[in-house]
Amino acid sequence: MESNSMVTQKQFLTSAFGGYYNAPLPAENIELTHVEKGSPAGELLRRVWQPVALTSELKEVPLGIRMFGEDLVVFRTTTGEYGILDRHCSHRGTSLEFGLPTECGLRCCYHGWLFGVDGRIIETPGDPPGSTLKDRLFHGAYPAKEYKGLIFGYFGPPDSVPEFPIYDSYEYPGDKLVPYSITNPCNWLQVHENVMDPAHAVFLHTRVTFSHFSDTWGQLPVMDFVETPTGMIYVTTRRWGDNVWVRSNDIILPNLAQVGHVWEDGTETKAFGPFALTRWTTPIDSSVGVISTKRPIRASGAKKKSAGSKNSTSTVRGKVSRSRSANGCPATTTPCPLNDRLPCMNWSI
Amino acid sequence: MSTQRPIAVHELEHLTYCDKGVVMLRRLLRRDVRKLAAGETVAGSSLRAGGVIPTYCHDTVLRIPEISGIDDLELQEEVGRKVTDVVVLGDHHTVDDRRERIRNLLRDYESTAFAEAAE
Repeated sequence: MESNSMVTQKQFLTSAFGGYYNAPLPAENIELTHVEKGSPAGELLRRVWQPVALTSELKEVPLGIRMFGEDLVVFRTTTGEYGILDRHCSHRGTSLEFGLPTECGLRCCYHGWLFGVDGRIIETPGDPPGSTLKDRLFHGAYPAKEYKGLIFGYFGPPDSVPEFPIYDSYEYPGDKLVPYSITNPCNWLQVHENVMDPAHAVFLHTRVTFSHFSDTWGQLPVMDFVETPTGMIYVTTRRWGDNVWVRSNDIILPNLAQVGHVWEDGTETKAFGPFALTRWTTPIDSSVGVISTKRPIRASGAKKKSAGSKNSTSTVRGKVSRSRSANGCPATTTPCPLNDRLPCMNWSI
Repeated sequence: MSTQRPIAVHELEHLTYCDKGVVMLRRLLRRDVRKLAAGETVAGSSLRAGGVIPTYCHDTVLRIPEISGIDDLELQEEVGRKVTDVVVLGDHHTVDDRRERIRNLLRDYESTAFAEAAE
């Protein structure tokens, strides 16, 4: 099936009780799964804006995040500008999670170095007044932007920052978008490609588990897969009485996906009914991926309302704080009020 | 999904008919990964409708009863293809009222197909 692929397929075993004849475990498909610096898929994912945190997760102090296997902090200056910096201070490696946002940047708690949102070193206050160190060096930084409850970063070459794309689903009339994120302890690709696997809904969500969704979903649909100007869609078609239900999930390359309502059951006619969620599957590293999602709340329809409340329950259950589960940050860190003018820490230097 | 191992091993899979979408997605990603590695640009959609980029996720339910003498799976395949042509192809994807235009085209198609079924 995998034409033009460097992956060779394992052959089925041809004897009963043949587990003994299994070949040793082969390596993963590095080209598509690995995301750390210099990896092919990582390079592709770095070329588009990626969500890194919910805006609501970021308080007055910086938030430790991890993307593409890099430890970083995201912060907001006191004037409301967003920045993403390498987590460890260029001076002596102190975590900038404990830094103090200022009007124009982030000040390291250890010796007071001040970094701009672009990584410019603005002050090295412990050095003599004539020191030119700050004029020569930069700290690692990435462009950041807040949009409707999510903070995005761009991790590619600084000379080719793309325009922030606005898709029609961000502006759907009457929608209020609610962001959430779920951390998955596995590679980004297997989370993402599930969106293009409509058959799993028939089995996992319906026949095997006795219906997460309506019974209509238990029919194996007629399936097709079609390229679009943004990537690809699946096309599933099912009959329900006198109706024919056509559904498409959408993948916007490389890692944005849009999924229809799970409470759709084909009983009421509709034409081009809208998406139910817009989600990015972003890599923390090659073994951990995060789904960052915007789910619209739409006012009309009692049916939608009841199904929607069911979904928001699973959302709350599924929500995992990135900083705790994915970043390995000390859970005991307690930010203290900024009016102390010093960050407080439950760790020792 | 993590039950497929922390990083799924593609070499151990036996992909079949129902995995076509997964295969196609991997092919498109591999295409773009290699384009980029060869120094080419990987561009997003250049289409704009009302200033925003059109997207293609939808649910459409049309009243098209079974037609006697026609295999219903073939009919479903035909409906899926016709609906998808309206959703993806044509000049109406760069107009401000794209959604309305798509809906009207789908309703038109439904009427035609319904009339055919009633014959």
